[in-house]
Amino acid sequence: MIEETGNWEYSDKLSPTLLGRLYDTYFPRLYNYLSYRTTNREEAEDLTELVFERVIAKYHTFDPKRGAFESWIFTIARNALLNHKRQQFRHPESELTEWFEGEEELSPDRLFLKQEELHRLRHYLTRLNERERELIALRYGAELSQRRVGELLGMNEATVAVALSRAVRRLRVMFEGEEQPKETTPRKGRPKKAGKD
Amino acid sequence: MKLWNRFLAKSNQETTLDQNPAERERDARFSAWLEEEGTFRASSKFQSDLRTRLLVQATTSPKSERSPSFSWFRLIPAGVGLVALLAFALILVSTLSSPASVELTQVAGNPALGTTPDLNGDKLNSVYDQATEDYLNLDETTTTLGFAPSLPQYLPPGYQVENVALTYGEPPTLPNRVRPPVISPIENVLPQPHGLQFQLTSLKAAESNHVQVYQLLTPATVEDSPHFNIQGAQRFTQQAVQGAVGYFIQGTRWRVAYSASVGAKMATPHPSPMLRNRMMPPKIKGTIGRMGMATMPSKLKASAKIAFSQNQANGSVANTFFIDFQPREDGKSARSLVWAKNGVLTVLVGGDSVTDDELHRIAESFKPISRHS
Repeated sequence: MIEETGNWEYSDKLSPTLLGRLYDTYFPRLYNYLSYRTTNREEAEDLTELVFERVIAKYHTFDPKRGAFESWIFTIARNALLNHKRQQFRHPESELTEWFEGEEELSPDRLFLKQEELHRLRHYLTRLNERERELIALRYGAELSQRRVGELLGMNEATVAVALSRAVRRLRVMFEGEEQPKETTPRKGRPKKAGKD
Repeated sequence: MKLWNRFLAKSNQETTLDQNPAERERDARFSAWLEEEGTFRASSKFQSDLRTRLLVQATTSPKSERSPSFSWFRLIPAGVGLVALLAFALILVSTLSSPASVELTQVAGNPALGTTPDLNGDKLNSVYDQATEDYLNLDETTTTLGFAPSLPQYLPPGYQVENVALTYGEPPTLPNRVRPPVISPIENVLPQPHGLQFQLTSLKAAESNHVQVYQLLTPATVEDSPHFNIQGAQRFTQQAVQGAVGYFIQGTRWRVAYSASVGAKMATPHPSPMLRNRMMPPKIKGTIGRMGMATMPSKLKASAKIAFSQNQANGSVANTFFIDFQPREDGKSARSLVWAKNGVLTVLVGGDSVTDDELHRIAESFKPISRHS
């Protein structure tokens, strides 16, 4: 788990050095979070870029006394995502075949398997309802603590814990192909698919 | 929200109560897998490109967004707003009907109207090396290069500096960059030179509106520096730049023949700062295209051959270096301005919309090169 403070010190002016540190600290988690919440790499990349552009534009409004930077930047990410979803309403998204970036040290076979797993993960994430998907994305994609997830979603920590365990179970069951999910909210514009046998 | 919390808590308690240990174990394993393996990684190219774009954005044009929800315009009564609009229209009409020559005189050649980079002139206190993605200390960079780097004091309106990078040895195949010339070692005496390269980019995003700059400490003494000539160009004219010999060159491929005596006074970049400056061969970077900046197919490809050497009476060796340039990778003709001053060869490759006058003005606005002793 990444430390909440990150490896940077707050300054009221966003210098290139500070921006570089913030970028290095938060880029992987932001990208991962947005990958959990979107259906293809291009969306995740565009949104990641948008979030950092807003960080540059809005940094002067960040007040460390009012909350952690981590909460602030993921609030920006969630708002950007929300706006994106609204805009997408008229243009249903399509799932693109893509090749995820993998670790270079993995063998080709292992890399292929991992990419296949990530592809399946993203597929089944789209079949969770919005709340469950958001919980999992914030906890595992953004690597936020349950307390921080609760702050962002307006839930207490205990509720986050049980909701999260429930969401993980539903995802796990779909992922392992044990049974059909009872509640599905298929995304607009995509034919409803049966779960994996 | 409380209802939601209560509902979730209740339903999940019911769910978790009937879990058997095996199920919980599998959930835990899956949760651990999500933490360890369920990670989407961005492509390293995208990650590094975005980092560069954001740093350029933060360095050159920090945004300050206004809140869209509140505007003082809303406080103006409708009647006052209408009067203001009419007054503005009158001013606009009178401005447009005034003699155009006045405006042109005001705009043309006014450095203040150009985009002034933060890394400009006296403000230059570090060099952002895109290849290593770091800011390099100016003193160390000066020692490494063998001369003090400087950026032009004049930029054409709408242009900004970007892609500053140090290079060493083999030229990198970087898009939108000047490819530095390679000078082969002479009889294992001369090291590969370091160079400073950067690009001036028009934010108007017109294709090819880039000016690319490459500065290189030539393997020559100060006294030798004016002795170069141009060969193989389709068209070239001699042009004095900063009181030194220079050439305007129009061509697809051309060559600088550079004579120098290599002896005790040989100019060699200081080798010691290399490690501190992390002067590894630059990594290949992607294009800059996301902020509306045009990507340009042109590169300055250059390679150099040592043609011959001749022993001199005083023990030094006279050499002629042939440095081949191909300003645009697509083979099209390009306008370049080349000059040598104090043993530093500078090559400016102009974009399509940059006039000769502007190119010359950029060249003249460089600070005089001071070599590192």
